[in-house]
Amino acid sequence: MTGFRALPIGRKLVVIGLATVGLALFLNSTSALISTFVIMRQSIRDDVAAQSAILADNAAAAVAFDDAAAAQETLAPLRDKASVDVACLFDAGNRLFAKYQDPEPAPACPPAPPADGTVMSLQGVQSVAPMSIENRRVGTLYLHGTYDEVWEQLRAQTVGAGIGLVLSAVGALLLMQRLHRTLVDPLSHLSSVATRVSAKHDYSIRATKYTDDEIGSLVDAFNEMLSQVQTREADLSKVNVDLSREIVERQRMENERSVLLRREQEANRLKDEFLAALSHELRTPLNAILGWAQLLEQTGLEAKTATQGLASIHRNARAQARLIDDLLDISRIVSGKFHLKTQVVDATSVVTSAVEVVRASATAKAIELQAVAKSSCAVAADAERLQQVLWNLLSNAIKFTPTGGRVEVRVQPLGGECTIEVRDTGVGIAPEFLPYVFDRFRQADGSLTREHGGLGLGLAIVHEIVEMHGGSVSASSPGRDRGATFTVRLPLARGPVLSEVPSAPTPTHQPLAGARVLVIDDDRDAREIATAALGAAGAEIVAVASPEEALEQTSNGSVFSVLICDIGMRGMDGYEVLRRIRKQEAAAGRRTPAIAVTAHASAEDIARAKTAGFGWHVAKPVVVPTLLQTVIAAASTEPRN
Amino acid sequence: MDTWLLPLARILVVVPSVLFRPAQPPVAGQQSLEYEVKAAYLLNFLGYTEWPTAVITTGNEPVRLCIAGRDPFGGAIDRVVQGQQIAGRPVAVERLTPDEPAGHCELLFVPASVAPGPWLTRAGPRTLTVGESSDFIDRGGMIELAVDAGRVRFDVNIGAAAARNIRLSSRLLRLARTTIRGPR
Repeated sequence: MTGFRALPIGRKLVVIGLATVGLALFLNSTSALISTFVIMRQSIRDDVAAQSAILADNAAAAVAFDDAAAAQETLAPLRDKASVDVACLFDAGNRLFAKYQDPEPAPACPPAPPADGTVMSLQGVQSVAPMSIENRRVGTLYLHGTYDEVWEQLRAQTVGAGIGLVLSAVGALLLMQRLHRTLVDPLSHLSSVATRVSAKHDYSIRATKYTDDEIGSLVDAFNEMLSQVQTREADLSKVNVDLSREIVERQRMENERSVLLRREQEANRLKDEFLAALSHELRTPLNAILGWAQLLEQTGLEAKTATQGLASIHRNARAQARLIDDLLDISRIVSGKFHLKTQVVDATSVVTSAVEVVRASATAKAIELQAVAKSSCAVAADAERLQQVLWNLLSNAIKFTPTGGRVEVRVQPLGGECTIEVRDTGVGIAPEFLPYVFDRFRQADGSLTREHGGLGLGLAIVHEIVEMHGGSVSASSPGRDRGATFTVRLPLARGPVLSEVPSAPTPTHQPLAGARVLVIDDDRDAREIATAALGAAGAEIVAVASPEEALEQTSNGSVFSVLICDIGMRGMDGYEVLRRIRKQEAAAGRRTPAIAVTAHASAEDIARAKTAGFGWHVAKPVVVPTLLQTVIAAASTEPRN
Repeated sequence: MDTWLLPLARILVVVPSVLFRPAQPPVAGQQSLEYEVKAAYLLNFLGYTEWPTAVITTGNEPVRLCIAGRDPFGGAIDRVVQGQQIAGRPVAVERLTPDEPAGHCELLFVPASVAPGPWLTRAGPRTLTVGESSDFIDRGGMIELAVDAGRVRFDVNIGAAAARNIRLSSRLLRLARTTIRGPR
């Protein structure tokens, strides 16, 4: 069987075909032989039986008339009868009367006739028939038939079948060798294609379809499979490319992330340093303020010393207030809520004004301060903010310039820009720090024991403001202890200078004379400062410590020019107080200008105050001139009765 | 009875005639054996004879086997026909006196001791005539019995039989020693 299995399909088909044909022919021949045998045997039997009947009839007379010769004669025709080999006639006394035997060795007559009838055996057919005349039995005929004819016939048939078998086998062989090509060739083609595909891994090869039978479907399925594999392979390589691209992308993002992380860590470090500096900067003026406050409480202090103490308290408080202003500015800048009120101003006058503000501190350090302005320089700017820029730059220059140094400011239009240069002879800037001077919270010396105070916000604010004006600011320094130069460049504006630079307010005497101001604050100090400041300006002050008192005041018919209200109070906040007051006023058809004075100084807080109905907002700690200015502004809007 | 009698008769006839010819066996015994055989032959003749349908009697009437004159069978004939039938009819033996008519007989046996002439004239249209005299068929008889070499043989006159439309079977004729066609 393994031999058969290893055979090529063509050989297998031949073997199968031959086996099938052979078996079919063999079975057919065998059944033909068997049926021949059965039929012939039957016919021989019938023949012998018929023969015996005829012979019995013919021979009866001879036996009856005792004529042996005649009897012998009646048997003579049996010579031509191949199927009968022995015939015996017995007389009425069962004695053998006459007989016929084939020349070939044939069985002898039985000694006595057997019983009547026809019996078949393997050897032959035996027929025993009575011989009668008019139903009178006169003897017995015994006839024996052979199967020789049958065997002869079978032999001939077998030889014929054998020849037929051989011829059929040869014919089938020839036919199949021709036919099997139609079956095997497509298969071998498919097989060779499959081998080629698996050897070369080339999935673009396709098998050719020769037939529409199962092999044809197999070829179709095979090709379909190949195209699927091809598609999948293409997909796979595409996925691979995508994957590698993604890996590169991730690597890049990872790098970015680590850069960001480093930056964030740096920012955190800066913030930590900033917080340390902030607490230091907030604490330093407090020290002076608290120290002098304690000294002033003591009696017996010299008048000169007291004046010096008050001046120190004043200076330190202002420093702290400015610090907070700076912080708020930065906060606004960061949150994008820093707005400019731009108008065309002459930069020269702004510079002159700023120089006058800092001149006192320069003089105190014996620093020569010089402003050089050769021609006017019109720029579109928020004058206050531009002044803040210059003030910051000048303060910085004075701060970092040792005693006896020199600070020079130059203003000149240069190539479509207005250039403002602040040059000092101070400590200078280290080259490695130069790129960072305008960064927020960045200071050249981050240590706690640094020589110079400050939060490092000044230059950052300068940078932001200048940029918001569409200009630029740069710093340069030849090196340490060799001074520094800050240059601000602003685009020149066309058109006339519309307004004068606001000069520091010079309060007129009693600007608030005749005004009634209601101050609502649960903090006594705040009430007292307001009372003192506004009272000096000639206003009549009613100060209450609680919302209830305030509502009492407004409800009893008193009319005020301005309301000053704290927001964060115990029991009821300022918004609610104003809401109730406004409700009372609505009946009387009045609307008193209201100023919110609060430590809640964020942009949101200011917006909320405006929404709640406060026309102005003053941040705590209160700067007296600011408060005064605001109250004057508010009072001026009051529709006087 | 007939089945064993006939071959026995043959042996008894043949064997003594060959072996004991010089001796004189009892004639009576020899005679009786010969007639036993002849009696059987008479019955056999009836079996191979066909009568014309016009003359054959129908019904249960017996087939008459007539013996003319003196009966030579000595009872053997009666024993032979006992219980036998021809064409479904019983066989009856009739012994005729010399003056009796024989027209009704199906077979008329004329023994050697009787002159056949008158009997032949008396035979009927359906009568098969069988005789023993050596000129029986020459005188117009149909079958003539003879002993030849110790065997009972017979000669046939077909013309005589044909004249009466009596048809003798070819099987019978084939066994006849001689066959003649006349006289009628």
